[in-house]
Amino acid sequence: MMIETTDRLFLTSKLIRIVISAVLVLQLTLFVSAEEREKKADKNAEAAQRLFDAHVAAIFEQHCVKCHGDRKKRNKLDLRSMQSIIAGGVSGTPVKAGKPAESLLVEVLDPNHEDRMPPEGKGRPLNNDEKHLIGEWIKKLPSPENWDVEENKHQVQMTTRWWDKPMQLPAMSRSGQDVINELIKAGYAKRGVAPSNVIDDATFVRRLYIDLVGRIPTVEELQAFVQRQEPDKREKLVDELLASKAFGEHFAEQFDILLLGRPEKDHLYRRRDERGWKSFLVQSFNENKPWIETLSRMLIARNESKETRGANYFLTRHRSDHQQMAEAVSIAAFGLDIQCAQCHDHRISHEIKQADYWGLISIYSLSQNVGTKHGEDLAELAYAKPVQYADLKGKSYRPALAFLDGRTIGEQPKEEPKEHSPEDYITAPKFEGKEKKIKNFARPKVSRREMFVEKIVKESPRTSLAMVNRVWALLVGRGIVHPVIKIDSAHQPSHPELLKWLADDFAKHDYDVKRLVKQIVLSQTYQLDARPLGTPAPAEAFAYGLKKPLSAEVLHRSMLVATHGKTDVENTQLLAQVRELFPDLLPEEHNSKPGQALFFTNNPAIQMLVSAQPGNLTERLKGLKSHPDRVKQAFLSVLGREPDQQEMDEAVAYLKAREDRLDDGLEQLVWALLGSAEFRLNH
Amino acid sequence: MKKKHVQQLNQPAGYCGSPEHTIHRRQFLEGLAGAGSVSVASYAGLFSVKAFAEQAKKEGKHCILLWLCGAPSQFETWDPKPGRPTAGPFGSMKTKLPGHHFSAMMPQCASIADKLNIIRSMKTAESEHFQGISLLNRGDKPRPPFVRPTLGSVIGKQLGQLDSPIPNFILLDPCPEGNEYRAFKAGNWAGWLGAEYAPVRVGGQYQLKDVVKPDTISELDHEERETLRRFLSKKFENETKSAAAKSHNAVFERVKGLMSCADLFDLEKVDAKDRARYGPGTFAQHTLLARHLVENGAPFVMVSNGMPWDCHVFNNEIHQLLVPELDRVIYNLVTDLEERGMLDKTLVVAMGEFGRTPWINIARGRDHYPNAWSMMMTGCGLKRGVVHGETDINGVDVKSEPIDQRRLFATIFSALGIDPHAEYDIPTLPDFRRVEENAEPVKELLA
Repeated sequence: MMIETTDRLFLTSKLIRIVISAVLVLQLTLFVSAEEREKKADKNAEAAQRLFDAHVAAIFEQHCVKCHGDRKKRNKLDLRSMQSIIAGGVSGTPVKAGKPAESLLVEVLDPNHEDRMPPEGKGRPLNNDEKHLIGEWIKKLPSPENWDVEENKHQVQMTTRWWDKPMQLPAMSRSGQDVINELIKAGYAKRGVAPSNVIDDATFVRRLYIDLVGRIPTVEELQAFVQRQEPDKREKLVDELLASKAFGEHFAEQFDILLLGRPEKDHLYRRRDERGWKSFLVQSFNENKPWIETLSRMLIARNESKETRGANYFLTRHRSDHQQMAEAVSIAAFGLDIQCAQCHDHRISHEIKQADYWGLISIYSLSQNVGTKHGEDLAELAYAKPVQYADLKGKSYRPALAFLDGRTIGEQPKEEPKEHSPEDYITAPKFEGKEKKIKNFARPKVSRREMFVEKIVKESPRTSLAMVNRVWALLVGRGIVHPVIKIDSAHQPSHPELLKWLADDFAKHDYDVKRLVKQIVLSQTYQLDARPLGTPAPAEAFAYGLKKPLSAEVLHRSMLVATHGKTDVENTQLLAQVRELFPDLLPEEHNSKPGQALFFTNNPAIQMLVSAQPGNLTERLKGLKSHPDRVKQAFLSVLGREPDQQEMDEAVAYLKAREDRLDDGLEQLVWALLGSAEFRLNH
Repeated sequence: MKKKHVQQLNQPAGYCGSPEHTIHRRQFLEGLAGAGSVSVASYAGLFSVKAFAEQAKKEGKHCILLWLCGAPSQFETWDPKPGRPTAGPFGSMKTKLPGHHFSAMMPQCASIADKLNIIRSMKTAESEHFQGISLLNRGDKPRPPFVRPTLGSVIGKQLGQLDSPIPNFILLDPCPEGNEYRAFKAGNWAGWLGAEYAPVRVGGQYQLKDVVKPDTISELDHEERETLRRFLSKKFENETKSAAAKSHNAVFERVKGLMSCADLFDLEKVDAKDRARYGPGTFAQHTLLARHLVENGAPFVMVSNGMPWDCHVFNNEIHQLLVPELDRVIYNLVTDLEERGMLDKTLVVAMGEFGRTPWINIARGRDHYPNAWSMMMTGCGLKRGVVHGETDINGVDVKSEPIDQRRLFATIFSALGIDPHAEYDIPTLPDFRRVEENAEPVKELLA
């Protein structure tokens, strides 16, 4: 039985497909033997992988990986994945496909073998069940001609850091948009897809306004741009918008959510303003401060001037919860969600260790919130009780002061000294109460926070990769690594060379955010039509303009611009509700919720926007002479384009049927446009 | 107004809203076709698919999934090992089924064991939450970039009507948190079936709002402006072939139904005696709500409450809190459905994403264990009182015939009269089936 054999059309198309495949089968009979063999090998490889995932990996994990895994790699052998095993160690590949008895890996399991594994005193010999499973797995391994050992070695390396792989990058002297165009185009060829056309001026101006200043353009702004005659008017508009205050405000709003997440309660948005956090971000983006400087201010949190003190909120908001601080730091600096590693090494992205998670906590473990006359500040001690953590087996460790890629700022001292010597401090701590709470903005001579920023954040290529990927995703609609908080070995970039080149270029040009934005929006990739040619290519090919759902704030402002031609409109209920219902910004996947449709359909705040009021769109439409004029103006105001003939006919018919209640009819037309997917998405 | 809603719900399944709407929609379509500037063919798929009754739909079958997220311990529920080192402190008790014991914390379920079925030989491949949750909700491992729909989406589609007022897939989960489950909840439930088969989530802070039409607009205009909106919006979706636009449009299709059935989600309107009987916890209350929704025609309701069962620490204390509630909830749900003559039409499934280790860790917890675990299912299409499969004396491994997620899903689909091996006929999809590799249902359970 088929699913959806619901009407004849489906059935017919199915029949046609069967006939076509029958013809194909006939044609292919000649090649069957080779094909079949390959298929069988594939099946075997799959079976081996399944068995490995289900059982063998767990056996190795329990008995072997401690020495042949992440912490150590004795004899360069890594037993964590099939690829790494096939890649082998100093004695070559320890398995012989199909022949367990001839495999070194099986031989050494014999307790009488001279190199028995696990070695005497390092664990019990494997039992027969375990050996049997390993044997079965080796039997299923495809023969070596079907391994691409080079390829596999390459993969093993990829599981650590793809950006360390030697890459052929375009010359650093070239322009960003050229490099984007070239490398994205190379991707089309590889994927066998064709790009859409470049968008016209009207579509460009709308797309750019939404992405750079966080709202749709007014009809006047749109028409003024379309009428401009300069050949480089797109570049000029980019420069104008980047120079406008709205750019920094829009980017600050987005980074607030990306770096801090949305607050749980609406009034907490206000707190972010009051603490100076928002204005710090706005100023950083508008004055185009180097990203590394903005980031450092957040991560060191020792700002004392009025302009930058808001940066401290990034860490003080966690109220001395060092785990939350570490998780936030990792996402902000490296685009890496490390939550998984709290209890164990990451199971899929092997390079993220539990030791890294706790290493970063140790770095921040000397930091404590203190109340000062400016509000909350983050004091730091010179030493404290060392941080320890336990793995799932109960073994306890003291992490080094290190975070990722073996980058370290030293060891934790074994013990906390009984007294804090003033000599170790620029501002010595004052304590109060039995719990010895710090009560001043203490600052040590050697600050772990500062060393972390100097030696790890500023030195790591991850810093610029994460920022470039994030900005790319905001503008283009999807990260080159997707999602943007998963810059790890399990999430390979769609265009590694491009991300690497842009990141290098970003670092080389003083982490200039506006320059990066300009490179991207002037590229052809950014300016592709949202309509794919033929069957849509996968999103990561960037072969057409990806549809970007407007964030809550942008949706809110754009609704105001569409219906009132301006953003300062009294509608207090609207923003809070929109924020609650449309919380996503750069989600892994976009999924609409029924509550959003109910909101559009029945909420009084939406009703207020569209019902005729002095000066608003519905009212203005009423004053126009004819239905076609009204429809045209409504489309221009809400969607930034004129209706096509079919839309015009339908909308005019709709209004004609309501000539007895034209106010209602116009209000409904505006509502229908606001509720369309075309308005909801930047395209 | 409320009375009217109730009346609508008493209409035959699949009835959708006011007659004006249906009539008007047809007129509007004709109007469009008459406009002449564009061929009629481009409107294919513009409006919701006509309801077509499959056998299962006619019979009005339902499914309730009690999703015990975090993974309960089989030792403290369906597969106790009294006297063994792996047993834990709670002991076991006799059940209505001679020779079969449940945990001593499940006296009520023990008293109706002849109405339940237990599989004690579950053996699955994923031992991490996110992967396990996905595996036991989708029935197979991921094969990117394709996203397999969850059980609720598949069953909701097969048993429900696209334009029925009550959602085909309802998720009752009040908990905004829940570690890996939180991430799963934020993901794509409906997979390649499309957003119209995603769950409607209710519970706690997740309530249906804006379910009442504003007074300023007439019924008719409220309908017609939506028809205009849909026309404009679908046109954009078709031209851009955009998944985001599709998702946007799909949720608008829900509006009418949700407006008419919003009252059904109001726990305050459920009988107070029933509420007392199910007990105070949100899981219990939402299970009662699930029964109420199913009685009113909901095809698939999934009940969960964040991820409370993940007891790496203090296994015994956590199970002492959660198992008695589960015991009471299953007892009341199954006996209620039976009394109302609905158990034969309603499949009840209770499970987590895997089991827990036979050994206790140093934090007095049990860790993840997919190698040998238990689940319960009964009702529609199943025998009653079957205990299938067996684990060894310490519960370390299954003794014979391990049941994996594919066979489990094949059993669930078969019990509901849904062909488990049917191929998905979606043009952009390689060959996928509801259950891959022709995995067989557990025949011993099927009625």
